Amino acid sequence: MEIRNKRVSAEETTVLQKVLMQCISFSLGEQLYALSMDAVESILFARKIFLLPNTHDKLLGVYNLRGNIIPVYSLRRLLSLSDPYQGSRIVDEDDRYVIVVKYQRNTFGLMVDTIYKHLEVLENEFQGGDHIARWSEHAVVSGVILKQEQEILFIDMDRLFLYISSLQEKK
Amino acid sequence: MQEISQELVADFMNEAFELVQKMENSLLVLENNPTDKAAVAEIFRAAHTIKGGAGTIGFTEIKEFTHKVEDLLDRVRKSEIAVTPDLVSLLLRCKDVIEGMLDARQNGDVYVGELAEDIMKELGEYLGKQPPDPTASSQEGKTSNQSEGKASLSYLTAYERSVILEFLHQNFPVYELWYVFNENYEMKDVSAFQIYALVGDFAQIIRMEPSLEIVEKEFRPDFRLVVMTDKDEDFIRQKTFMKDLVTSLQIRRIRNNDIENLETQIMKGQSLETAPSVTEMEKSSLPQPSENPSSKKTTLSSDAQESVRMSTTLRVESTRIDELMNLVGELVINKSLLHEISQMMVKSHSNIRLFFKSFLSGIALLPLDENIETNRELNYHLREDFHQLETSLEQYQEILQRFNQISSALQENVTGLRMVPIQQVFSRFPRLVRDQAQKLGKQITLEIEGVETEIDKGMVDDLFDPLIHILRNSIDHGIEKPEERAAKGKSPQGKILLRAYHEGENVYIEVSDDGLGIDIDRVKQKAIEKGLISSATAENLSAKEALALIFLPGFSTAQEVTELSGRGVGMDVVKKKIEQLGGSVSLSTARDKGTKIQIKLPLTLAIIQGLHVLISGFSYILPIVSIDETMIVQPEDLVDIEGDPHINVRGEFVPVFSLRRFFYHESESFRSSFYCILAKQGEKHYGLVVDEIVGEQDVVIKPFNNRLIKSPGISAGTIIGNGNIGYIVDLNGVIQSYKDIVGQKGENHGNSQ
Repeated sequence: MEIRNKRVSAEETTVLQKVLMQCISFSLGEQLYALSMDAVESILFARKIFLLPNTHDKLLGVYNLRGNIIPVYSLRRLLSLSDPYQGSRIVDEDDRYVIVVKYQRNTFGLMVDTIYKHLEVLENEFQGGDHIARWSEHAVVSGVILKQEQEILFIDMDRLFLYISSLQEKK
Repeated sequence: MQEISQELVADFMNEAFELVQKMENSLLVLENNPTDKAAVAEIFRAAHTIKGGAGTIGFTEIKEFTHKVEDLLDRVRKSEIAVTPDLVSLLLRCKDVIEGMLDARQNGDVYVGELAEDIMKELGEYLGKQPPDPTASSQEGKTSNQSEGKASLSYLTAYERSVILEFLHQNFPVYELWYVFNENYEMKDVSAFQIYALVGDFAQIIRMEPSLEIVEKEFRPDFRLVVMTDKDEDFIRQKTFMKDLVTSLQIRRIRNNDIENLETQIMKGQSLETAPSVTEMEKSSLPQPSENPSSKKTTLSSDAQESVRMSTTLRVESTRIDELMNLVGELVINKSLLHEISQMMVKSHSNIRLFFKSFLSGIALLPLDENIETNRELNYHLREDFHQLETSLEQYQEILQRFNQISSALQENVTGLRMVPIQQVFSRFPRLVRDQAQKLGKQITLEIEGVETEIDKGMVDDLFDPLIHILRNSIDHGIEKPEERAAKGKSPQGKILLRAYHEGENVYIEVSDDGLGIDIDRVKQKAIEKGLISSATAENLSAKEALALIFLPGFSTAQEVTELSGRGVGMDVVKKKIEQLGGSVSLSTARDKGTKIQIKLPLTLAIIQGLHVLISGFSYILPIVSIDETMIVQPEDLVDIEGDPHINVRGEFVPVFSLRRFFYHESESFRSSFYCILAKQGEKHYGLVVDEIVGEQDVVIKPFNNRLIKSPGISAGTIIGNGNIGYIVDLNGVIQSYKDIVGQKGENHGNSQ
């Protein structure tokens, strides 16, 4: 996997401490996940997400984002985890969050449980490799960030989008 | 200018395509009237502008070819060459080549065609010169900026040259100033900027060589400026020859022939020099002409060239923007008025509140006689405040009304921005009709009316194909050969009328011809042969119903139409396309009088009239265009046909099915009365059951990202007044799905639809 936006911060003194990327981290249940900040447009409360009939079940519904209608996916369902909103016709919750992502001019939302924090990931904190792919059913996780005793699963945007697009084909 | 921006290329492309269209139109005018000077001037201008633009962005092959055409046109303009049908045909082919070149560039290729070379030869013959070596165009020289006394001007781009020529034509003096800087000057790094600024005070700078960007990065010992100014050489010298900065200044007046010589040199490929940036770009990013025969385009017949062009830029008349600005201005004024009124209201309100407060708290403490006086005063103030509040409210309502007007006007104006004259579609047809008629040996005049009728920009590309279909049907099958027409006592020259007009909320486009008309019996026969209808059904069909058969898929294919004295080439496709645009097609015909096809279109693609209904608590919008009527049905009116509920509507048994079931898979028992919406598909009606009908309303279409979401039966979304999302129903899709379900239904059929 190619990590985009590699940059070295000016204050770095040792090779070990190079900043690899900026991420946003969030949780699904007890597990922490991270997404590259590059793709994140904004974060919203999961208000007024309307079920769209006759679509695949990973799609939570559609959301009115400043006059444009965008699809919102349940990240829980995308990762084959249980989702309390399965079958809901309208999701209207103050304690769930939607991360709005823009990838190749496609804007969509991902519903997560809670937003954890912004992460600055150093090179030596990231472990990539395809063996990680076995951890997640759809290989959207492409690495692990080890930070302060925590294992944060890194979600790869390229793979995630590929997976989301393929759902559409199957439908 | 390090690289040519995509925007510049896109601008050039848009303009160039418009210009070739203009060229064609003027050529057709010229064909009918060989002495029309204005048409020649128009064609020349178009060629000249394309040449200049193509040179600027480094599309060398276009520049070279158009330059040649321009030479010929120049001779025509000066009456050195006469306008003959042959010449017009040649120029039309030239226009085709230019268009082919533009098309190729748009697809990221470079046009390679023998046709261009052949035409070049022909042009050469006309011009009485040898055509240039076609390979010359790919040999790019490098710009040198040697400090020699005689400046070559070779660094000028085609665009700059054309600017200079323009100035010279208008008798504005243009100079080349060559400054050599003093390298010992301590501030030499900014010398160039100082001179640039000084010159800029009294002259218009056309070109600076090397460019400011380069001079910013490093010190250059000299630089040249090409400027237009009404000041003389002495003045320039006096103003800009700063002894500390500059060691020498050479001033040279540029004349017409300097530029023309330069152009000829370039034409001959002796020292083909363009701006260095273009040269670099040519080498790095532009695809080079390949000698691969597969990429050769040798013919450019009109039917092969009817490619639809997608253009995302909109040209908007400045008056429209001005109107918008005025409206926005009014909005701002209104805003400040509202603000004032709000302050007044707050003041009145707090006064009244204070009055009550003092009245309630102080009344007991006041002696009676004083009390009357004070109360009188207080009463007076209270009345004043109430009066003030009343006035404010009245003003507030007035402003609100004005706000409504402004917002409607704004909506109308912004919608109007997307509107373009239908001329954009129609302008391509005269040539098509001319070529096609010539090919078939028919005499046809095309009359066009209502070119100024405006349609939504989004429709321009989609209308093109259906109209070509219809026109070609008229030319191929409608209009008879001259001798046939004469035998019928008609004028040998057939007529096709293409007409557009506005009526109410719709745009109409009509194509009528005075040809054969359609033989209805043959249409019926054809439909029976094709198995579309039974002969028994055919007996009972009215003429109108029989004509509608033409629009059925599979009614005819090209090779069979020739036996049919009518049309039908892909009329189902035409109908489908028009319906996708929210429109409809109708047809009328009379034997030997001709045929008229009418297309009805909505004004805009962005807003549709819809029927707002509720299905399982969600808002759905059904396009009014596809709805015939709404009704309330009682359960006892249902008739069971093959296990599916139907209702009898004026003798037609209409299948009824529930949208709640379709979208949410909920069962529907039809035990009590229900709302049913009659929609038509083809010749048949279908009844769609909804929970509630909210009413008719205009809705703004919010398209879905089809790459990510597709929902069968839903074509797009919309925002309902309260910010909630509503779904726009794709009625055709829903009905088709219903038909599929009914078709597949087996023994597992439930007790209800």
